[in-house]
Amino acid sequence: MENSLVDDIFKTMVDNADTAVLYTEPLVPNSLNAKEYLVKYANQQAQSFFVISSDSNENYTLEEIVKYDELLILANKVLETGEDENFSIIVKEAVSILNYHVRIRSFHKGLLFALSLIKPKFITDNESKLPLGNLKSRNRELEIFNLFGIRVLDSNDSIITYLKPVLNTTGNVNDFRIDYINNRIGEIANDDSAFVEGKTILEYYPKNSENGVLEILAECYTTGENKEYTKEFIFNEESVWLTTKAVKMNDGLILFSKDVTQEKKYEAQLFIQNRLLSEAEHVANIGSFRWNLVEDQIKYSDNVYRLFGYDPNEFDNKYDRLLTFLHPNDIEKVKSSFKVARRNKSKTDSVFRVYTKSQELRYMNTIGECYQKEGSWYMVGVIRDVTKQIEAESILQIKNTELKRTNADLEAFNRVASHDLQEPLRKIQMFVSRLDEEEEGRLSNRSQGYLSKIKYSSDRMRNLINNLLSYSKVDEVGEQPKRVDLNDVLKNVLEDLGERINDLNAQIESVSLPVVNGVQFQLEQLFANLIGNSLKYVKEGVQPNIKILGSIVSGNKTEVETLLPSINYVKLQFIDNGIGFEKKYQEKIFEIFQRLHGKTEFSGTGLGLSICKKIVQSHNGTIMAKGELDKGAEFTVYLPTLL
Amino acid sequence: MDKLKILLVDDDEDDRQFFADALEGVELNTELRQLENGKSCMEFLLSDTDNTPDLVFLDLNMPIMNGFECLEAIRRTPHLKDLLVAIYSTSSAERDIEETFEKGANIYIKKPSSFSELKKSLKQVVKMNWAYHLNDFKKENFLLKI
Repeated sequence: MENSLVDDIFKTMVDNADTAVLYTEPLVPNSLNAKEYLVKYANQQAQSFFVISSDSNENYTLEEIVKYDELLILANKVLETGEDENFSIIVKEAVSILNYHVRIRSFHKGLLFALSLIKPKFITDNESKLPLGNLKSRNRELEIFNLFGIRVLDSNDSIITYLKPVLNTTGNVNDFRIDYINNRIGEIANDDSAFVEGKTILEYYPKNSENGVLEILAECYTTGENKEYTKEFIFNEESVWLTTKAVKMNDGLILFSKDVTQEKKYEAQLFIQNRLLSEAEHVANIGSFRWNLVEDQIKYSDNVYRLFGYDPNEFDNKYDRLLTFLHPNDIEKVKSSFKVARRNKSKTDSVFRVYTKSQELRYMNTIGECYQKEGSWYMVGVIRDVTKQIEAESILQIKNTELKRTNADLEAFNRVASHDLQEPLRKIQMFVSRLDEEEEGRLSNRSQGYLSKIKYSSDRMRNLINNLLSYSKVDEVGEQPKRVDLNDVLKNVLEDLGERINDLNAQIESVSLPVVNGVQFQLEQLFANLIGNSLKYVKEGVQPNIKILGSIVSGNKTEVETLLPSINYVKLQFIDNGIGFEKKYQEKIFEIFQRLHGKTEFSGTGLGLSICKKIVQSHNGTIMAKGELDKGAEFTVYLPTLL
Repeated sequence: MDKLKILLVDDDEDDRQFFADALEGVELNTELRQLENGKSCMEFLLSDTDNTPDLVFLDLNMPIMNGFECLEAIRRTPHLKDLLVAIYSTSSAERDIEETFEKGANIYIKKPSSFSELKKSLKQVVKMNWAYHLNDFKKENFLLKI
């Protein structure tokens, strides 16, 4: 390839590069003061970065155009040491903060600056596009490109192609001849540059006539306008996506093509992920949004539109439009909530009412968070329809109020039962006992019998009231659970029942019992009721025997469904040899006022086991009964261990 | 020893009668005064200091001024702060019992449901009265649970 063509290719490349390139030479040869350097060449990016007007004939000095002292200091350093400088600078603009990578090196007779943006630039509407003018003509005089050879082009990331038009008889372009292509083509198409050069683009890749490439290039050639396009090509049965920039140069076109296959793949993946997200949103009744706070553009997911009863993209994506959906009383609340979030760049979480397209009132919850990207501020977040939750909550609140009232009623009943019911009963008992004492031996047998009946009935009534009270008191939040040694519990209970045990000549067998977390007096009541039952339902003619066993079992080693498999339980067993009960009553005996026996047969209120069950439940445990008629009864209690 | 001066404060007429009758059964030289509520109790204790009783039985649930308030008033009065006070109530709630001891009660008697038990309790309290005068009084020995 001729040297002049390489020069032209390279110059075009540099002119169109994303990197700002600035070449300066000293006024006095070999000057060591950067301030004395004049700008000799600046590509488009450099002209825009340094704001060099290309209209004027002025000779810019480096000092004039470099607004950052840092750059001059480092330029001087390069002059002193002759070594390259690599660093980055932060440039603050009106709406954006940009981070450039800067490279300064001694080059030819002067200094070469290269600035490339590390983060993509946030493009403003009024981005300056400086026309090329006198500066460009000055650039042409530069010799710097002669210093570069084909190797530089080959080391470029892009495929660089130089095309010459092939004209048909009527003077129209109907093909292009590939005059030069760098060896990047080898990596993509597995063809040598030499193999490709000399062919036309339709010969090398016939589909160029169908995929629009030929058309675009012809237009670029005819109009002289730069063109950019992204197309898919198939090389060796593999898909390759290339983004190509076409620039008219001399009598031909120069193409810079970049392999964007990976990006395309990511794009496809992104598309699938977006679809998934969209599906998920639909299922979860959630919508998401991304709000550009600077430009006030809100990008809604399709489901947001659906939540408001619209079709995707049916309403305007401005904040003000969103406000029109709101219930009038919620507008201020939402406005101030967003205002605070925007000002403080903080999180927002608010619930508000909206009217959907069909004028249906719904509750929405929005959670949004602010973040900065590419020099702009965004809020991303989700919108959820929480109407059901709000409704459920309000129902719950009503139920809660009802429950509170019921509890208060129950408490009032307890007070009545404990005092007002007991008072008259006690009086009856007092008078009966006085009557009994004073009229002893003077009453007829029948009257004495009546008196006994009154005594018996009032005793029963007292018992009943006491049991009712203890039953309703189990749930009272009184004492906090503490470490309770069940051996102490058993000892106290056996002491209280001592008289009856002696009277019945009952045999009590027990093992050493574990420690649990509980309320001592309730556990005593539990033991007293269970052992008391065994002493009550004894079999005539048989010495009562009561076994109290205790062990620790793992929740998953039992067949009890109500126990948690992950924790350990204290298993207590109360086994007697009394009259037992029929198997079918195993569940029923714990029900309130459930009696298996006639009142006269065995005294009792029918509350004892209900109280037991309630106590065990309030200790997060389980109680079960096992029995067989005439074979005794067995009660098993599971209570969670301390750990 | 002189007559043991006993004051019973209870709004319930029947209970006062039971008490008086039971006290008669206790073979001891006693003098019983009966009042109907805490207010009249305090009026009496503050005005007639010559007749300050040896022992007061105080019901809790009373109109105008209840037993708790009366107990507090007694303990606030310098010459009554060591007066022996027995609470005499139907309530068996632990909370009530504890509260009376916190407020300075000496004994707690739950109103029994038989006359013979009442007589038994009163005898014990008299015994306790002796222990009190002999400085051998321990509260836990005289919490009568019936």
